[in-house]
Amino acid sequence: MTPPGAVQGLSLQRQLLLWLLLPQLVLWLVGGLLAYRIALSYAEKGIDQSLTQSVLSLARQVKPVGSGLLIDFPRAAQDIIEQDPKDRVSYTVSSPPGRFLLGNGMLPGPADLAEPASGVPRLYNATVDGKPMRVALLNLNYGDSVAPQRMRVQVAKSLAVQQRITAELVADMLVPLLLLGAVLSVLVYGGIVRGLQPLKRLQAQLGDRREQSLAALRPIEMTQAPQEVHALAGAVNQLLSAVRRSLGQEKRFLNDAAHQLRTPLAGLISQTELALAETDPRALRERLGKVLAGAQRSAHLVQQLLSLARNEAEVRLQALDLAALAREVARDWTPRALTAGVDLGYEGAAALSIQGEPLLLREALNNLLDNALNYAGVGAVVTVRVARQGAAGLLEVEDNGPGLAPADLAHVFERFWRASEGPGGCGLGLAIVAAIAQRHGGSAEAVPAPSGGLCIRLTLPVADAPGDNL
Amino acid sequence: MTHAGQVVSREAVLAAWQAESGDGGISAGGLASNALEVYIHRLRRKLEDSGLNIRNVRGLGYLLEQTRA
Repeated sequence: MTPPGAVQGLSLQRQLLLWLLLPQLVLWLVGGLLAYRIALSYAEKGIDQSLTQSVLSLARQVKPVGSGLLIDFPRAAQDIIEQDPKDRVSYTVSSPPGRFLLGNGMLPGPADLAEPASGVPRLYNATVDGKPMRVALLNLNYGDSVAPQRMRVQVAKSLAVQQRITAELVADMLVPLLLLGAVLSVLVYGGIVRGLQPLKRLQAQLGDRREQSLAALRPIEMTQAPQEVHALAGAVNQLLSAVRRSLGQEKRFLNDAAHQLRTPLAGLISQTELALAETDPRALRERLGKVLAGAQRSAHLVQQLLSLARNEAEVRLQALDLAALAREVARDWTPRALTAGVDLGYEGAAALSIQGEPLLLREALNNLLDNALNYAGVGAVVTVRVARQGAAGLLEVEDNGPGLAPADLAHVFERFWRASEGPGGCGLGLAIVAAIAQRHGGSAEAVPAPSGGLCIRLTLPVADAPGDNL
Repeated sequence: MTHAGQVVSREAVLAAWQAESGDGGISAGGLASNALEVYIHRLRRKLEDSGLNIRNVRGLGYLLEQTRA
């Protein structure tokens, strides 16, 4: 499903899982440790409490009589203390401390030498026969002030009990904690998968577009997507439409270019054919010169078209005589006009200086004359006209052919629009004319000629201030 | 004859004519233009049987062309 190279680093889903589940695991471990500690301390407290009570009640059974001690320790009490064989309770009574009086074993004193005050029980850990034990110690003073005496009562319990109780407590807490963690993990995973669903849909929508055509650039459909994904999809859609537009422009340019290159190449071929048929070396040279000139013009045209294609490309405008250029192009076309039975002529200004690109204007005029000769018909009169109108220079090509219906006049500059289904022509010539006029900061319009034919008029800004002649 | 099949402007014909005749004295527009027309007219008559014709191209100049026999 995932195209190769699409995953850079961890996927969003993995990152989210990592960031949510890993801290959860850490927190859960910390919680478990804390619970263990709490359980331990509670178990300790319980044991300490019972040990303290035991040591106090045992001390009560030892009564000082004069300078001696009377120990009233019935068998029943002994049984209670020693009831659990697994959890043996050890006890020692000694007086003075360290001299064994009574008990079931000698218990060690506290590791540090600080003796607790009389009557205050003290608790500490000690090792007896290699086993860890919890010991409660109580010192009691007796006797009179002349012969003070001190006795020590100790009761000890194995720490194994404490550990057992702790383990039980932890086990009791661990099970619900584990369950809670598992449920939380499942919820987090589900939430992430569900939350990332719109992104997956987006990926699927874009990933399925394998085709190389413009259809692959259609906008993404994102209905009911979350806000963030919607914004992302919107941005992607915006980009897609921009790419689609520029791709469309590129495509149209390619069509324009092919159209524009066809004419000079056809001329080049016919000139070459004529040169091949030529036997006179001088005439051959002349023909070859024309072939070279044609090839150079084609090469230049390609360059011009490329610069036209670049949207922001600057067309270098220069001052030129539009009237002279129009007459020159018309003269080039005269032989073809005669062959087609068309009376081609020029009228208007002797000279008119405008800011223009000669090759582009030549192309525009070529397209206009090509159209006029093709569509005006045999016996038609085609007139190229250059005139000044205020700050604008007018370049017109008018014919007295059948013309166009008023409804069609608005469409002539659209790309691929054609008035008839006749052979030849691809509906790009006038579109290029309009583009060239716009490049010059001017415009192109189609108007009905007084004779009933068609008149294409380019309005181009003049070079200098009004009244200035070339 | 070097421009056979091409349209030559009136100005170019006039310049070539004057250069050939060495007559630079009649370059004043109207007079020279009239003289050129007379000259072309005479030339046309001379060419009548040669299969060649000088065609007047509206606003553009003259074209030496072959008439169909």
